[in-house]
Amino acid sequence: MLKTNLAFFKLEFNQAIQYRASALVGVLTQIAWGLMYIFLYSSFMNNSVGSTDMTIEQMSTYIWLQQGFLMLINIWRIDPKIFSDIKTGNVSMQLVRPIKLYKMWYYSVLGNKVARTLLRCIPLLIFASLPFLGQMRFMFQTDPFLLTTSIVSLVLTCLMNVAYTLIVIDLVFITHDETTIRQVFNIILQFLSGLIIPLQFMPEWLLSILKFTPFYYSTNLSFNIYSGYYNDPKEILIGIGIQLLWLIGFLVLGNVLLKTKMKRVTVLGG
Amino acid sequence: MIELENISKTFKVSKREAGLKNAVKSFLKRDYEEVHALNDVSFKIDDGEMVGYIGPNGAGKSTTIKIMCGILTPDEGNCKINGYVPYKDREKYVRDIGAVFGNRSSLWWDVPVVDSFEMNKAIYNIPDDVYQEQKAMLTKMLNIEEIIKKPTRTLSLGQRMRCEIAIAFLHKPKIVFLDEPTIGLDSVSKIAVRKFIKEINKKDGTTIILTTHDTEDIKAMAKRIILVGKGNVLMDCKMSNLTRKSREKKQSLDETVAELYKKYKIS
Repeated sequence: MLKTNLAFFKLEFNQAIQYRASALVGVLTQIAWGLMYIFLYSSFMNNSVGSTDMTIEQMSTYIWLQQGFLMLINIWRIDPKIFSDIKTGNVSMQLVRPIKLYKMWYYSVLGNKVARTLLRCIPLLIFASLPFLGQMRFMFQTDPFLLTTSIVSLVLTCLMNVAYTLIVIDLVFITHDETTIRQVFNIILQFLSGLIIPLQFMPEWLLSILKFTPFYYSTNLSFNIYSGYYNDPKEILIGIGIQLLWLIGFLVLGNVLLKTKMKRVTVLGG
Repeated sequence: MIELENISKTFKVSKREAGLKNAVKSFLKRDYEEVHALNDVSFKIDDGEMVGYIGPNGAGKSTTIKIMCGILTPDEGNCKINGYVPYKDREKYVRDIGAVFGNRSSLWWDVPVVDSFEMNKAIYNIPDDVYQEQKAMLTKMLNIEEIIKKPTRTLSLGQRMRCEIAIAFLHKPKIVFLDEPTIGLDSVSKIAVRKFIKEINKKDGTTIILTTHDTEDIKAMAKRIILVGKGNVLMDCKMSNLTRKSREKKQSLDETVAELYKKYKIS
């Protein structure tokens, strides 16, 4: 079974890695966005508008990580083949294979994300580490505990995000409405997990609500562990634990939704 | 061994008249029409048979195939194939079947066909030696040794169809469903497909279930005919009966089939 999943991962990876030009353009765009965000927030912070206890170094590192791993965490680009399979009924061809649809989709999305991220994050983070950026550069975390836990948390964030994507795919499969569902779920994810505005710049009352949602424990957690903004070992470990619970929750929900749909699937025509 | 007993399947299809007014009306309250795709369909097919499942458009052929493939669940009736209920034990059951849908593709679009072969090798867990042997045999028989190195999107329909057929047989299935496998193909490709199906049935004893509108196809590939119309099985006979009839009446096979459709009022 593992071999099959790996095969889906590899196939998607091989397909996604072909698009070098798009990766190059992506890197340039994300560098521009990254710089823009950093200039914007540092001018706020220098003039102490709003209240945050983040340092400029931490904020810059956060933004660079966010730009570098954008492909891993956003859901605005989901493998178009999955949606076209759903729309055209080609999904029936997948059903005559001895595989679980959920697993197949999960590993395809994961492979696609990892390939696209690897192509972009390495050149971007190399640029972001250049010394001329001063305190706006991407800093290296040397503390072994923070480094390890941030990587663990990033992996969980990625898995959680793929599981979230699968819920979106399930809902598209159920309703046959791709655009609305994707936009709604995308904007929820982006805003609440701090991709548009880092959560540390949001008002206290919103943060206290967000702590009860999965979004608080995705990129917010992993990037801020790396930047050293979160550094209490106990809090970090609890955060990772909660992240794991949300991951399981997403996986269960995605599977249940798909199972309900499969019971009454209809494939018309031809 | 394929056994279908009293299978029925009904679809709910929404419908409305043309025009904005009716569109708004149907937004608020939708009218559904029940389409009885299958009514009480029963038949038995033994191992190694080659069966042509024929009938006019909308007769329920594809629905039956989809039920037998485990994609659709019937409303009523029993279906047992190789000891499994397809739609209940789907994952275990489909290991032993192959399917070719003429208007669908099971190949991955952007990668060379041989990568799709490798995918199926992983999915069906085909041992390496069996895989190499099957691949060599299938590509030779269908004359696609060079074609499989190209990405699917660059292939012509005839080339792609031959690859679709090859991939369906890669894991040595016991039963293969062919749903209009020659649709849109040129004569050369059609002949290649027919020859291949006949040979593989003889060689491996693969059960072949074929739906098609091409009478040359059934003549070449089927030894038994099951005629369906409006969701019912109307006739179940040997192919030779049909060919004899057309010879006696000095008709083409197409005319004989058309006459049958008229006789059963299903055209």
